[in-house]
Amino acid sequence: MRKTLIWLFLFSSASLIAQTELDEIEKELREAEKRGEEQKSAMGSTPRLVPVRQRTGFIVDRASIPDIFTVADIVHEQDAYGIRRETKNNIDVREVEFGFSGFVDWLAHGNALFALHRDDHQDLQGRYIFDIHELFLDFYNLPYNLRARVGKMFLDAGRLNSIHRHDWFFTNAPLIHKAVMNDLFVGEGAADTGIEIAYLMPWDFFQELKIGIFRGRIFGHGHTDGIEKAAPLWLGRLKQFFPLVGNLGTEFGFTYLRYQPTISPHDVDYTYGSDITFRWFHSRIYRFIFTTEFWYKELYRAPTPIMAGYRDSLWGFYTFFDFIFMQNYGVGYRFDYYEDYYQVYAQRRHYLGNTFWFTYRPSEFAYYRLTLEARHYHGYDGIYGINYLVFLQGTYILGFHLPHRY
Amino acid sequence: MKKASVCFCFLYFFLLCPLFSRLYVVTTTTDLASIAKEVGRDLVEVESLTFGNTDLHFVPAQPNFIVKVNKADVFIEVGLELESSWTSLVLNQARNNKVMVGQIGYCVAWQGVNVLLPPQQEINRSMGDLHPQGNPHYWPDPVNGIIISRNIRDTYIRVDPKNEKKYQQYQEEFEKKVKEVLFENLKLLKPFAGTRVVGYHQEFDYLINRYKMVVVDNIEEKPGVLPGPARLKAMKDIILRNGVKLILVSPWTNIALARKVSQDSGVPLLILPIQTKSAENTETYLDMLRTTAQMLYEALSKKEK
Ligand SMILES: [Zn+2]
Repeated sequence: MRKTLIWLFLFSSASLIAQTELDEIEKELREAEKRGEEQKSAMGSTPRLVPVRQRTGFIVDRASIPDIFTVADIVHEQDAYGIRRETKNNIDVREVEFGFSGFVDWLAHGNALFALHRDDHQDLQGRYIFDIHELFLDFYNLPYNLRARVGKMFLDAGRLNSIHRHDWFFTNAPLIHKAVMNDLFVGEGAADTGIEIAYLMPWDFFQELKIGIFRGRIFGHGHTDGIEKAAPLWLGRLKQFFPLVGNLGTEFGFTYLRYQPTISPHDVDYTYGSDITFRWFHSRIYRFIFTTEFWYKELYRAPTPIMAGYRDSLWGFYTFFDFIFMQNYGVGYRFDYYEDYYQVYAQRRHYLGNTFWFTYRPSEFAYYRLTLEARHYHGYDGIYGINYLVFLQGTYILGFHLPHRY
Repeated sequence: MKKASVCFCFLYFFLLCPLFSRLYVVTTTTDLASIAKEVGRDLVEVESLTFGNTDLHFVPAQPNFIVKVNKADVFIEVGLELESSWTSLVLNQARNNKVMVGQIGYCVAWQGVNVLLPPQQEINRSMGDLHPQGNPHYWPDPVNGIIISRNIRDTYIRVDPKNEKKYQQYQEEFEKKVKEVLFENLKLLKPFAGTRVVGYHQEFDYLINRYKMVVVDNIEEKPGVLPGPARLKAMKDIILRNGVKLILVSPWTNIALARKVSQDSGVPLLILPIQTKSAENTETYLDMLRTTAQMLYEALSKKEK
C-alpha cells in the first residue's frame, strides 16, 4: 500500500528523483527502526523501561558514580582603609566546595556538599573550617503535590540565601543579607538541619508554599553547636512565578522566620522578607536579571528580674541588575541599604553601599570578576565614614555543573 | 448549601472531562510539539515549553514549566544533552512520577536517529561545552522527523493502549506527509548536490547532509564557544579555499558574527529558521521543512546567476 502510494507520487511529480534515492531513504528508515529496536531490546523484557537521554554505549553509570563536582573561589581584596579595615588586602582562597549528588534509590535523591572556608570570627582567627554546607535527601515524588527535603540545607529564606555563593551575580553578600542571616564572618548565608515540605498549588500558574522546621540551636552560619531551645526555628515561604511577554518572567516571594535566640521561650526574633526578580533572555547572547529583596527583623527580649524587656529592630534592602552581553561579558550594579536600632544606644545607624562589577565568562564553568564598592557608614553620634573596596574574583567548576535555579 | 456544592462538583467534573479524556503532552520544543500533535491529533493536547525562536541550549528553568510538567501525561525531549541543563531541574520538581526519565510517559525523541559526531575519543571541556553526546540538532532532517514521530507513537501507545490503532494510523499518515515534503525538497535541491556551505553553530549538518550538500566547517570552532578574531580571520580563508557558496546561521545564534564573516568573505548569508514557529511560514514542522528548503533553493539559485 505504502509502496504504491510512493510510486503514484513518483509519477505525479515528474519522477525527478531516482528510485535508488527513495530506496535509500526507506533503507535508512528501516535501519533507524532496527537501531531503536536494538536499544529497546537491550533494556530487557520490561516494557516500562525506556531509554535515557544519553547515547547507548556512552551511558554514564549513574548507579555507581554520582555527579561529582568541585567549586573553587579565589578572591583578591583591597580597601582604602576608611573608618576601619574591612578586607585583608591580599589574595586568598575564599572557599572550596566538594559535592556529590545522585539518586539514592527509587524513593530519594541525595546531596552532600562540603566546604572549606575561613571563619573570621575572632576566636577562630580566620582558620579554614571544614564544614558540612548541605547534606540532604530530596523526596521528589510524594503524593498530593508535595516534595520534602530532610537534612542540613541553606534555608529557602528570600532569594539569595538558597543560592550558592559562587552562583551569585556579585562577589560579596549584600549588607542586609549578612545582617539578617546573621552571617558576618563567612558572608554566605544561614543554614540549619531540619525538614522542609513544599506544596505545589494546584493552579495553572506556579505557586509554592514551603514550611520548614529546623533545629534552631544557632541561627546563621556559625561553626558552633549553640544551645538547646524551647522551640525550633520555623520557616514559611510563599513563592510564585508569572511569565510576562516573550522571554521575560517574574518571580516573587514572601518569607517568614521565627527563631528563639535564648533559652527563654519569651525571647523571639521575627524576620519578614519579600523579594522580586525579573529575568529576560535572548538566547545565550543577551541575558538580564533584576532583583530586589527587602527584610525586616524584630528582636524581642522579655524582661528578666535584673533587666527590663526591650525590642531591637533592623531593616534594609538591596536591589541589583546584571546584564550579560555578547555571550561572555556582564556588567552589574547593586545598591545596598541597611539600618538598625539597638535600644541600649537609643540611636539609629545606617549603611549604604554602591557596588559595580564587570564579569568575564568564557563558559558556563568559570568566571572572572572585578568588583568596585563604596560603603558609607553613618554611625552613632554623627560618625560618618566611607570606604572604597576592590575585589578580583576567579571562580571555576570542575566536574558536574549543578543546574541553575530560575 | 449542599445543593450548591453538588452543582459545583458537577460543573467542575464537566469542565475537566475533556481534559481527562485527552492526553496532556508537554514537549521541550516547538518541533516536537508539532509532530506530537500530528501523531495524536484529537486524542492529545500538546504544549511546548519553549518558543520557536529559542536557543535550546540556554533556557532558564522557569517555574511555570514545573506546573505544566506536573500535569503532563507525556513528556518529550530532544535528548543528547541538548536541554539537560534545565529539564532535569524541571522534572525533579514537577512531582509527577509518570514522566520522570525512564518512566512510562517519558519520551526521548532521538532514539534510532543516526547521531552525527558521536563521542569516539576522550572528550573534555577544552573542546567546547556543548554536544558531549554527539550533535543533538537532528530534527531539521525530515527522515529524523519520521523517526521522532515513531518514538512519539510508541510512547502514546504505552500510555494510552486503548487507542493504539488510532495512533498507528495518525503516525502513518504523518509519515506519508513528511515523505511527500522530503521528495519535493530533494527534487528542488537536487541541482545543488555537492554545494559547500558553512554554518555558525553545529546545527545544520543533518539538514545539509540530507540534501547531499556539505557543511565544510562551522564558525564556532568549538560548539558553544564564542569565536575570537583569529577564528573569524581563519574562516575567510576556509571559505575561499573550499569555494563555499553560502553561510548559514539560525535566528537565535550570533547573527552579527556570521554577518561579519559573510562581509569579509563576500559569500552570502542565509538566516535559516530550522525550528517550528521561529519565523514566517514555519507554523508547523512540515511548514518548517518546506520553508527551509525553499529558502536554501532561493539563496543558492541567486548565487548561480
Ligand atoms: Zn548545539
